[in-house]
Amino acid sequence: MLLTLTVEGILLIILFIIFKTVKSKLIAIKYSIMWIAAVLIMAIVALVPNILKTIASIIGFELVSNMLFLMGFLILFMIAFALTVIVSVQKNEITVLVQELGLLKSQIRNNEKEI
Amino acid sequence: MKVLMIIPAYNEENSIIRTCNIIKDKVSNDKFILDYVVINDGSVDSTKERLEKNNENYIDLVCNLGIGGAVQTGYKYALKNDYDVAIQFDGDGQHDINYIEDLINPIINGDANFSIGSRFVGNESDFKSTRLRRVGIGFLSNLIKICTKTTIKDATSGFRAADKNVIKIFAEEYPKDYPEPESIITLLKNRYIIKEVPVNMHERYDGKSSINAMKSLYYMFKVSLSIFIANLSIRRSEEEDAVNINS
Repeated sequence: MLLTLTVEGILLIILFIIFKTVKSKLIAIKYSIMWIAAVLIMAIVALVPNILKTIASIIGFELVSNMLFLMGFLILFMIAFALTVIVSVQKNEITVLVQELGLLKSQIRNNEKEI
Repeated sequence: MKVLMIIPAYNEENSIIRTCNIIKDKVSNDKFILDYVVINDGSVDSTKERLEKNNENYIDLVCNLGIGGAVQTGYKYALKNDYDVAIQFDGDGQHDINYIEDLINPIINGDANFSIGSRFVGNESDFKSTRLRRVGIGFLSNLIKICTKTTIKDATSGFRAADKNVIKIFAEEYPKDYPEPESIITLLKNRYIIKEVPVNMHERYDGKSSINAMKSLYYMFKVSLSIFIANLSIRRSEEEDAVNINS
């Protein structure tokens, strides 16, 4: 009982931190959704541990903790991969911006010279 | 004919003005007008100040994009200002201005869309890079031959010239790092004609290559991977073309 309360408390603090970060516009709401979802799922599972036990036995895990490690790993992997995609897209966008800015600056300089 | 020389420069305060003066001394003949533009790729030394002081035609990039992004800016400039030919020319003294005509002749005559100044065709070049690097270049050459059935002996050469079609393609899409071999594949796969022209190359003024021993392994892997992926994506578009023709 005490363990459950502690876990729920920690999750509540994490949820609070996420909301605060979104409010101060450090994370876009779009990207906060996955973190909020992760916290909510953990909260539910901590309240009703039998959900996990049932799923683990259906899939065939002998230990619930093994399933948790695997799931945690896969989810983090997915998030990291999604972030790599976002970084690559933004890198391309920044490249285009820097190039266009350079071209514009040179055009302005040339115009001034003509005047 | 309007010809543009694209000169990417990153921290080349010691050599960039010398390169510009070499180009200015080169009087273009009545066959074409020769312009140049220096792309200052976010240099942290006084490259920009020197360009400004000498009243050179330059484009200043606010942060460092790497060689691919810098050269692509030049192609965009060429497209915007309606140049017929664009030449990539390094600012570090490696490339020889006297071979400009040789390089662009196949394009002016309509024999090729793209020409590459090659160290390994003919016997013009006294500087042929280190032995290890030659092995790498040979490997790339074989890889390109397997993928496209075309022999390109010096796929890493940065001394190249492009016609209007290629300028347009490169302005839209150009690899960001180590772009030379990958862009060759793209052109070959789109059925553009590439000619290699024998040229002389020097050792650079300050003797430093942007590719050191640590990076060369990454270089080979990256280039091989991108050639492989370019091969995949273009094969798919060919299949789509075939489907479109059938239907």
